[in-house]
Amino acid sequence: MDNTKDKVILLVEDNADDELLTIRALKKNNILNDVVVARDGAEALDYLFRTGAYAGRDQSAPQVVLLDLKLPKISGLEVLKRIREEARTRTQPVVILTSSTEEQDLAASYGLGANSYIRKPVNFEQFSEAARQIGLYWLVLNEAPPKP
Amino acid sequence: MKPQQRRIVIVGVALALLGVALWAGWRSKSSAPGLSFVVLVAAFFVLRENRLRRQAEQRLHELNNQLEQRVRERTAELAADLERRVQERAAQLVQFKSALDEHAIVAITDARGKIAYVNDKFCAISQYSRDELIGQDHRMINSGHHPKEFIRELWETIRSGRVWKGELKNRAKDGTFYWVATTIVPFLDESGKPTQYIAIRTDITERKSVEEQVVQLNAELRVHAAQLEATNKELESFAYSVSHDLRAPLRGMDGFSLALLEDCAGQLDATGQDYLRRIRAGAQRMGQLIDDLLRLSQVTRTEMAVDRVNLTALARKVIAELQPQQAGRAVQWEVGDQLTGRGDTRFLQLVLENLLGNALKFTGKCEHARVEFGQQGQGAEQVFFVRDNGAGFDMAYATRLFGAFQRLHTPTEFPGTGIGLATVQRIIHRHGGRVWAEAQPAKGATFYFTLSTPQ
Repeated sequence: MDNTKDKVILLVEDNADDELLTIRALKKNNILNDVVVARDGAEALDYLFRTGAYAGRDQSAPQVVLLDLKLPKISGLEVLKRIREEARTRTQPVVILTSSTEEQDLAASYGLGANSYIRKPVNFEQFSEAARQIGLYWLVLNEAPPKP
Repeated sequence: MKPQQRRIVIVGVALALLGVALWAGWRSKSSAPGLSFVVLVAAFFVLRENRLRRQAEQRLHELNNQLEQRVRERTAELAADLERRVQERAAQLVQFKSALDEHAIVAITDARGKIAYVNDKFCAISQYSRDELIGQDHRMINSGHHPKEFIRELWETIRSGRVWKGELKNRAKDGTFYWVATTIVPFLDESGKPTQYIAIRTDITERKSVEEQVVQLNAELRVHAAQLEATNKELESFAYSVSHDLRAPLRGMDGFSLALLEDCAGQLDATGQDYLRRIRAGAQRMGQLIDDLLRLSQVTRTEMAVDRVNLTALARKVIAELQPQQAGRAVQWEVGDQLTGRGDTRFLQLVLENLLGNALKFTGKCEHARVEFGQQGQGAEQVFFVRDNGAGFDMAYATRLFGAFQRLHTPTEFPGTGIGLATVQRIIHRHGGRVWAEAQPAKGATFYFTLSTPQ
């Protein structure tokens, strides 16, 4: 998967353990793309809209956003809503990567236009397998939407 | 002149004329015979006229008498008829009144509002004697329940000659209250002023007390519903928090234990590695417990969508999904044809997943595993069952089967969290059905369930 290096993954995750484990899982599966970590919803939106700390960053959009739902400041669902409202980010692939499979979360996520919903398993081997498939699908198989 | 006197006069004139005729005849025997004749004829006519008149008078008198007689008779007849009709009407009114008295509380009030009449029922319900009530006004039984405006409107209505209907709360002599459905009819004089009011009332105390109870029960019900909703909301947010927050630390325990095993295996001896594996097993088991508990609570939290469910198709689908767990074992699955029941499809799938999954699990040590899903008739009740020839259990522990976290086997014998059957029971109870089991150790178990209470 070395031809995908230039494509950035935006990981929106507030739990440091989960951040470390996700990056480990990606690395173990040879997904060597740059992973930008946003630790709350506001930071994620700053990155995507190139505002705040990310005001000067380049024009590229992340290949995929891995979005947790329970986040400080601005929740994952709110982040997703704003991504879909904004013309620049409307087609941005967003994968919900979270702990819960509560029906309300699934319904709300898909309702707001999530591209995929994946539950983080407790078992790290399963988690690693999920990370491998996410990488394979979103960074290799899936064709990114044309730039708006 | 009276007829008697007139007759005397006429007879007198006649006799005088006769006397004049006789005297004239004697005095002029030969010279005036004609005059005597004329006088005689005249006397004759006078007398005859008198007789005829007397006869006519007699006849008139008789007719008069007859007429008077008839008038008297007819008058008497009419009077008798009138009296009979008056009596009939009076009797009817008495009957009406006695019937009304049987049913209703009656009072008559004069124009000033003073009580002029009360019937026995009025006295009975108000507990006042007739003497205590007559001459008083209705304030005597005023409960104070109704606002002044309400009473004012009542009086305005009846004073203006209109009938008032409504429900009144009154107070009896001993201070207890009673409710009456009331109709007050005003009676007016020619100038339109009320002369009296007749009030007819029916005791509705019992209905009112039932109504008040219903209102109170409804209020209590609303409180309970609100509490239940609050509890449900709390449960929901609790479950939500469990779902999101409780699994993350477990992921850390499992993930970093594995990282240690992978990255630092050289620095750990076999015991150390075993400990790490135990940490991982514990974390994973905890994760499984959380998932099962969430599913159990979801059964309570989620609304049911009841429909006719094809249980045969549902069982076949569940069996297909269990294939990976069958792990190459030969299991003889038997599913009855055309089994249907009323219920929530997702929940009934959960029931079958648990029962068929258990059957598969507990036949794990059988050489010829056989699992059957079918239906048997027990009177009007549809009883479904899942039967296996697996490990079974001692019926002495049957009551503990359906409790959460209750297990009859150790995890090393058969894995599990002990929440599956609790979930099954909760679903079946939500459907209004029953669930029970029969088993023998080493000979297998049968789990029965119904989906609604027999009609």
